[in-house]
Amino acid sequence: MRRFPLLSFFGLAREMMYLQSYVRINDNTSAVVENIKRICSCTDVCTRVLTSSFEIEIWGQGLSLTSYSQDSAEIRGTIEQVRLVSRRLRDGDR
Amino acid sequence: MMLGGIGYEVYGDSFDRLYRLIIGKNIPVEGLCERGGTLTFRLSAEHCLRAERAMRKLGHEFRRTEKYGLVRTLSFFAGRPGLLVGTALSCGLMWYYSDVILIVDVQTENDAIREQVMNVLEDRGIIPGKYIPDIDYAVEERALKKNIDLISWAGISRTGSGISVDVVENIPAEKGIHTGMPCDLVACEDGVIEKIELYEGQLMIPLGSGVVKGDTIVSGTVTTEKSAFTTEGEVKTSRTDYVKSVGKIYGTFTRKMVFRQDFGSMEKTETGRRETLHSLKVFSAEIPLYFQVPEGFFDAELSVKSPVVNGFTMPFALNEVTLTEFDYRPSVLTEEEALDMAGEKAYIYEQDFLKDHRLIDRQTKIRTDKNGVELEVSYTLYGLMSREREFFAPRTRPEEYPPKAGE
Repeated sequence: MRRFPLLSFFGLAREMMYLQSYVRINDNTSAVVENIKRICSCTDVCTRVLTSSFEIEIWGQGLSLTSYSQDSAEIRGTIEQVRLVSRRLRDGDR
Repeated sequence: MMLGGIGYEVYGDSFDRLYRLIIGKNIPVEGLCERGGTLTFRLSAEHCLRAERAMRKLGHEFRRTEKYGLVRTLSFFAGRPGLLVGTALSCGLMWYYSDVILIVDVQTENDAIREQVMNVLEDRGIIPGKYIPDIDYAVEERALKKNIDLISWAGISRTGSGISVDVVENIPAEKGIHTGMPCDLVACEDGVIEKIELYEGQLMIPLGSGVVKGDTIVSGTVTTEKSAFTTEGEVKTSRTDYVKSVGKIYGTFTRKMVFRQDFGSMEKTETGRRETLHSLKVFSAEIPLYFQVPEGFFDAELSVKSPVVNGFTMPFALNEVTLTEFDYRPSVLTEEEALDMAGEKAYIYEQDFLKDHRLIDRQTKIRTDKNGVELEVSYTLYGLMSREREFFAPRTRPEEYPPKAGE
């Protein structure tokens, strides 16, 4: 059985410098995503944003994105699903 | 978002570069949503120029869809310069009128005093339009007291954009109280005396007697006789005093009145012309919203429309005066109409002159001739039936009086 280290060196460094992806979901009405690097798409059914280590997909209805401070955004609408794809896997697929 | 914002629609095939630019330049968009090749978002006004420049640079077509907040308000006013000018004008007028007399209110119900106060103030230049801080209230109050005999005190105070003049009227002394003239009480009606209240004077006609108008009921000439018995026999001395008779004589009497109404008369008729004058009342300042008052005879009806919020009446109101023009035109009355008008005259007479009396009986007779109708009303009344009649006392001859002790 493969063993994973609890925390890698880079992971610890990112955590200490608050560079991880923070996602806070309020009911199904809004989600706040911090440390956004890029907005990939923003339609009313799917919003995809890229953070340092994940691509975060938020599916739902009537979604819209509101950016209210640097590197963070709030997605409003009826959220039905949140999907996180590791950037390593995403880049590997490509 | 303090200044409000603008909504955008951006057209294009791919918005990746725009998304990067929004994140890269930290443009705080709101409601970002992509639908079928159209990206919509709202943007704060202070970032609009920056975002538009960037979108042009990226080759996106865009259009402004909506404005909100202060931007919307400013756009609203930008297209309506009249509102801005009107607001500025109103503010200027309010600032000016706040220190200028608009209304002079005299706190009295006596029309004569009100007129005199207004005349004195007008002579001294205290008229609508006068700058209020220039008025020396103490000097003006003194002038009012000096010039108007009907008042004993005057006080001027400022009320909003006007001045209020409060006065204390002189209370006139009861007739006869301060005159030194002796007087009789004479009958002023033909009737029967039923009650006598006599405090001073010589009663000449007893209770229950009938009197005709002019009879002296109480005389101010009081004669007293004294008799003394001496060795020479009875010696009579008389003394005459002239006093002011004080008292009230009540009785039942009959009064006949004839009220005539001619068939031809002037009738008050409405011409059909109606005018409405508006004025804006802000606190106590009344700002006319008309240029001139129409000429003619009008009945006026005032209605005040003042907004009420949570039970509190706001200090501003829209006054509306509806003027209905009337005119007096000759008209021919029927007998019934003439009789009604005569009856109306009789009613007014009763209200004005008989309210201090008790009405015991009322008989009417109607006479009609070719010119009009006469309504003869016989009133049987109970009430005061005496009045004072002053007279000059004859010069006193000293020999008529017995010498005082020690003389």
